Amino acid sequence: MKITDEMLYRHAAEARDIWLDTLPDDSDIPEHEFSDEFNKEMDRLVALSQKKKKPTKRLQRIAAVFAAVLIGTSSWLAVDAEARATFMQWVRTIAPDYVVYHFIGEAPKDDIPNFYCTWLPEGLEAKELYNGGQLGDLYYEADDDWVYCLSYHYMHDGAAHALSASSDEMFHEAVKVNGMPGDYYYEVLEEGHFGDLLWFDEEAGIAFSIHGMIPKEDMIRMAESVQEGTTLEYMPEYEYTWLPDGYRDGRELSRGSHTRLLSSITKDNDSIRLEYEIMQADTLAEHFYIDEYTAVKEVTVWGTPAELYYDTQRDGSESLLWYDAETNIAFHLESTESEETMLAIAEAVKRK
Amino acid sequence: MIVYLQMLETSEEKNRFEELVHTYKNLMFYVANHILNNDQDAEDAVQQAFFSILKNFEKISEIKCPQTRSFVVTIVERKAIDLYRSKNRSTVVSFDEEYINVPAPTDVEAVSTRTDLARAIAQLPTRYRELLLLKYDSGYSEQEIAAMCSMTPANVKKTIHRAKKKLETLLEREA
Repeated sequence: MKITDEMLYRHAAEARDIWLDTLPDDSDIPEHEFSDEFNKEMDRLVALSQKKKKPTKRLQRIAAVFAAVLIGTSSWLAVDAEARATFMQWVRTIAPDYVVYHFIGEAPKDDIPNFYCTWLPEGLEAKELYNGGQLGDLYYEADDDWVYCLSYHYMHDGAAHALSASSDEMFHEAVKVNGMPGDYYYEVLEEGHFGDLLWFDEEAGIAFSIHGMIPKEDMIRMAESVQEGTTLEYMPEYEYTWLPDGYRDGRELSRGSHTRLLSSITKDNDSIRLEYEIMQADTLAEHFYIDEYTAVKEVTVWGTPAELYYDTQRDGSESLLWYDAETNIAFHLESTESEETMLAIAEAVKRK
Repeated sequence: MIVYLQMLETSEEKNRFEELVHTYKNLMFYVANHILNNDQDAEDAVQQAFFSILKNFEKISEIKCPQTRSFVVTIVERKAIDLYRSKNRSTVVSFDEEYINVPAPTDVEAVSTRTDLARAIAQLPTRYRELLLLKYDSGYSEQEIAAMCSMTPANVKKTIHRAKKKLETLLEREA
């Protein structure tokens, strides 16, 4: 039986309930008296939850990767850091089943360029490109549905790269890629060796990595063929041709071959965000994960049916979704403006 | 680190976070201590879990609901297992660790009306079950899951792929 995403979406809630039912009821759990240190830490966390400007969704995702890695490793970084780059651009920390590289340096002002492999093993094809300013990901797919990824990012303070094993053991070898220092990690899975190759261009201040079910020799050959440029084009760019008073022109926060994100803010930090993505799915709300709404209204954008998600209980962010069947692009407009204004903004979104 | 921390926007949300802490800290401690068997370590795991939860708090619409309960337990379970591993270093991770906190088959099979697939998901090794629930029940993207679980997005994809293969094997065996 082939397990599909659709089956998993359908049965996940039931699986969750089965699993939760195996936990004791709250009333059966003895009350724990937390230490003063714990309570102080909780107070600090609550204090951190003060009013601040919320970063955009795409930036949150990028930032969260870095933050979680740092939080998760900070307690043992000091004692276990066992390898350092010549110029202190990175520090490697090894645990039994995961490895973290912590980077040090200043972030360049310019966005990172794109890179691609000029040599690929047979059957591998570049599918999706994503560039979030300081880092980029190029995803490849093989005939057997495995996903491979070439990642590159500037080595700067706060950036980190984590690997974790999903099987019993992870092996390591030091390697060179075009003379640059690197590390090759692999796990022995039923299907073969799953490898992670990292290497560091210390001159350019860029860390590269490739992940995939590829023999080591092929992975190093791919790595040595990496060049600046891309074989995939960015998807079409859209812009706001009208915005309500007070909003600055839209600023692009991320771009890619299948998705882009445009944001505009006021001086009071009210924001309008437009995320658009090439996709075939017709369940837009699930795809963009809109969950904080109590009502959906059928509306029209660009002469096609659209959906407005909003919360009748409170003033908050509303989401407007529409789909252009001609280009297969789904649009998600989010703001706290009124329905009328949201529709006017959407109608004014035009291809650049 | 603080630079990247996503803050909550309003005092109302701050109160909601306090409510979440109050509602789940005891359960989270119980789950963490079940894995770590040490009060101090369990409290550390709960602290780390709340930190992760704070960063993803915007997606929690209701505090007292099965989805949020599942989410907070999943996160603290992952933090506790990571802590357990860092405290019990060895050159090889034992196979048994993958089954920490996996419910006994008898517990899961007690309710006969459940579908085979749902029961199979609940019995998966911890890492597989966590990722499937975070993605297909809680709706997090693979990038977000990677951040919460200290994994790379590619590794999340790979592990979910392996979880599906494992489910196929389990269900074929049952059939």
